Amino acid sequence: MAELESMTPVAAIVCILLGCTSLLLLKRSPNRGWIDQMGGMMLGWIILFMGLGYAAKAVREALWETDVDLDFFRYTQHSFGLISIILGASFTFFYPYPIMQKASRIKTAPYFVGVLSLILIVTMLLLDYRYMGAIQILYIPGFIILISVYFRFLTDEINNGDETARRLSFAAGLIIIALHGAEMTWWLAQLISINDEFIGRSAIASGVGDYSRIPTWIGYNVMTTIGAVATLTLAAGETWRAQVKGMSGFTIIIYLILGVGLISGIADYAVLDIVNSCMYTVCNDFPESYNIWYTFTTDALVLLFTPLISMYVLLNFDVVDSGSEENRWLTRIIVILMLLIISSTMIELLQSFLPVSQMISSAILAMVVAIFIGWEERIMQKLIEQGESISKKLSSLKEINEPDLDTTELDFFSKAMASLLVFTVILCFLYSSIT
Amino acid sequence: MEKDSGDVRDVLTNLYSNSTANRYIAATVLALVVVFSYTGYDTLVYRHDVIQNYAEDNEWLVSFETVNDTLQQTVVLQDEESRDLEFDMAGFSVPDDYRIGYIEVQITGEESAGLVSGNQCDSIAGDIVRNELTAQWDDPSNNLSGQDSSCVPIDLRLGVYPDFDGEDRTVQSINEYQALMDWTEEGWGEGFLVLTLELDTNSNTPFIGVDDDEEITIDINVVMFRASVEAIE
Repeated sequence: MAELESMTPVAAIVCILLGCTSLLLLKRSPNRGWIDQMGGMMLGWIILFMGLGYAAKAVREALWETDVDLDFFRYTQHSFGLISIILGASFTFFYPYPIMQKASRIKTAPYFVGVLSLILIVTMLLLDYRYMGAIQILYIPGFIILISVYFRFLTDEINNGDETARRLSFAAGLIIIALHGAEMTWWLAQLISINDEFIGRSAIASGVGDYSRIPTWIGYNVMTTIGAVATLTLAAGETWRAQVKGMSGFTIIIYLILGVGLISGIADYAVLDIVNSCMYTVCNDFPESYNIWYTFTTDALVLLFTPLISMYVLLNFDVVDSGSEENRWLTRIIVILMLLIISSTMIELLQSFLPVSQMISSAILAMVVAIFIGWEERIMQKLIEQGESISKKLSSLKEINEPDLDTTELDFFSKAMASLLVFTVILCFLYSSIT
Repeated sequence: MEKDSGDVRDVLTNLYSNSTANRYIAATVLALVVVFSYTGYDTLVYRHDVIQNYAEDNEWLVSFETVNDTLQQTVVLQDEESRDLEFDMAGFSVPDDYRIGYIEVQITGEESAGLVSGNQCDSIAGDIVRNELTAQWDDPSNNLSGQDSSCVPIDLRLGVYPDFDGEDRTVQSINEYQALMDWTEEGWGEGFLVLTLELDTNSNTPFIGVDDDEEITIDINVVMFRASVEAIE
């Protein structure tokens, strides 16, 4: 059986491509509301920073066994990952239901993200990333906001018959999956409380001293708890909705995650002897089938489907003006490109452990290409037609403030993030040269 | 107060304006707290304590219990004769859980054994021949060849198990299994031990007659060990 190849380089390409394109499309969409403008910019930069972090990780993976000094890539991987976490946690305060609506607060967002990122990047750099996991604690307020938005508008839809309210609960649900997708597939393992054994294994395997810090473990536990609760509450909410309104695509996605988590939990329980082998004997490897399962579920969800979900949010909620002629061709290219990159990656992965000849996998890829080209017009049309900005919904509810902000003031966020990117690269380069 | 004033308090009031939704939100937050509490106890208290035992490598005293198996063979060599002798290591009985540590060979001529008194000492040379036998052929403590013409037995030594010298030692590792891991390898000491003997007699001793052969005794002592560990507090 061939070894499964890493998806990290593909994730890097997809994220960098999508991040740049969404920022470009946003620049070409001048008539958006401030929520869309701000939300789109934040989402674009989150994806871009994630992509840069994956790129650094991919370089480390590729050159792992060589003599090349990889410190610079280690620092950039962690630093960009850290910025994307801070941005992800801040994003929920602006999208889909903005908690910060005053002009003064919106204007402070780039300063807040920039300063907090710099403080944490330098602190983590000096502490050799021992407490990196603790940063995940920042997700707690964002999760509570998202789940509040989800239930508020789900209840509005079901109890008050407000059909347009689905837009917001759907957006909140999608963003929860985008931010916590990996941990959502570990819900059963967290409920029966066996994730700590996996944390223990990682700690021993990685050299206990550096990884058994309490703040880091609190961060891990926060994320896995959020994942478990998110899966169960979204599943409960979608079941309720399905009984009244019937099944939707989002309901199916939630059930899929629920099912994957169920199987993963059982698989995790079955390998506990191997997990604990580190403590009592030596760290035995997991079975190949177990690794394949996680590659196709958790890893694929994080590395490949998270960018897809982000792209869907950008298009379906009309964050970028995909309907205008100027943007239409670029949107089409990026949609087709991303779907094809992800499809071909999945086919390649399948081929690495299934005895499928290259001719068959090429034929499958050709079929996928044909389907995407044939349906491209329809997919795009559907996305654009369905696309309605959530700011319109919030305006109709009179729950949105229209602050006096011009485009330049909003664009400052992008300039601040670009400066942060450059500063981070220089800092990591200097630090890796000094140490 | 305007409903869309943008003040955080107003925004939160709007967000939490639906009492039915608030109940679900409260239940979710409660679930977060409950799940975090018991999984947090497992992770942050129980697992952390367990892991702390491995936070720094523990010190272990490794000691060795040894047993020997010996074999003796006598050969008669003619003057100027060189002969290869082959001993199958499978012929030595290795108890369960024991490994071969090293092999000692003693080559004794009849004069040095005191069998023939008054005779001049013959010159005997003995070598352990490097071959496919799985052993530490390059170990500096080896003595693979020897020669004697003063009626003193020749002692040869071949280290078989890596780093084994029979002495107790202190090791650092996270658990007992890993402390013992270096001393439980299989496959050492498999093959044939080949010795080459050479004889050069001194036959010009008056009144004794011509001494043109020699009875040589080879004693092979295979030292086997079983390691045990004890935590050093």
